[in-house]
Amino acid sequence: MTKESLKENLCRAGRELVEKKLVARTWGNFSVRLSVDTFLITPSGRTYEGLKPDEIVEINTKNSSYTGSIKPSSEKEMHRKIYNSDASVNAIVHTHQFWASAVSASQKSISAPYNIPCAPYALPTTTALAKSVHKIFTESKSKVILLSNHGAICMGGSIKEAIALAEKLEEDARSFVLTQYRDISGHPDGTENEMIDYYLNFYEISND
Amino acid sequence: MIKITRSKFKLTGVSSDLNSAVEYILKYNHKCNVILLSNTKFTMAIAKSGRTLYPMLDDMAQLTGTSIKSVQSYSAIKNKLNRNNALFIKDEGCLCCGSDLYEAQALSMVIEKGSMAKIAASFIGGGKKIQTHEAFLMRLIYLFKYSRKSKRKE
Repeated sequence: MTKESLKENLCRAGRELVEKKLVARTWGNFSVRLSVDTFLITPSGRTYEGLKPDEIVEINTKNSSYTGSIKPSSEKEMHRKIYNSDASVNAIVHTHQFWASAVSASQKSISAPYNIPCAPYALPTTTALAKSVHKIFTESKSKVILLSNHGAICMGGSIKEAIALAEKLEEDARSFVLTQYRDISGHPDGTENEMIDYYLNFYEISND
Repeated sequence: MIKITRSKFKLTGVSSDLNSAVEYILKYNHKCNVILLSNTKFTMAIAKSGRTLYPMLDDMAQLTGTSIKSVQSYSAIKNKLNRNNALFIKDEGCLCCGSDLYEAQALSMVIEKGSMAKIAASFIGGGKKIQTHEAFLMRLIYLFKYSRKSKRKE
């Protein structure tokens, strides 16, 4: 695939991620590998609905340098470290999706049968966050990782595959929470609305 | 959702308390041009609980700062929204103030997600809120970046 078509793919992916409510506003970021030494990433502070191919930034995987006047996503280091440590990863999406983010606030991995690890907390855009994610990735080899109190990151052989993993993660995270609620409440078919009622009755109002 | 903009400030069919609250916010919070009453599922649950919501997610900390307080009724909002941009009203929802509709909607969205995180956390072993000083710092950085961007646009 040419550089131009990969850039167009990234822009399309941006619109798809917004439509699927996996990212919003300027939050999240995504990238594709261009060559052994380079990858393409979304810019910093731009919304995804109207993203244009010439706004996509090319990054050097060896030293994080980039060309052009457009600033790349401030999470580029997280992407760079992953590309450098696994040649099978060709695309990465970092999302702020609802259920996965909600679960990430507990700073715990999602247990079996989902088995999704959670990277320890670090402030967004810092190298500490990039290191935290990279460490969990190299230890677990998982292509889906929760970022404590922040969101999630999904990796694939293609951008399509990475988005599909993000969608599946959303379903898994929701199922995980509902399963935990059903176990606690003793309602095997409990719904989301019943979970909220249970929360209000047993966790909030009863604690007054 | 009820959307109210400063330029089209005319409310009918709502309580006089809500009318007064909106009038008060628009008068004293000069950065607020749009007020959105968010009553989505998880936000409503927190509104019903009458508790303060502390950010458990970075994006909520960036947009709301260290916490979102809760009041019992519209008549109690005095001085509560002069500096803050969101406030829970018991059993009604969350008032989200923005300089434009886009900002108010973003606020409403992160509050829904933050409320979901709070509720989910109680079933999965507890959540960790963002430390107050980190939430404060994230809010400051966000406001700094946002104001620089606005200046560039002017």
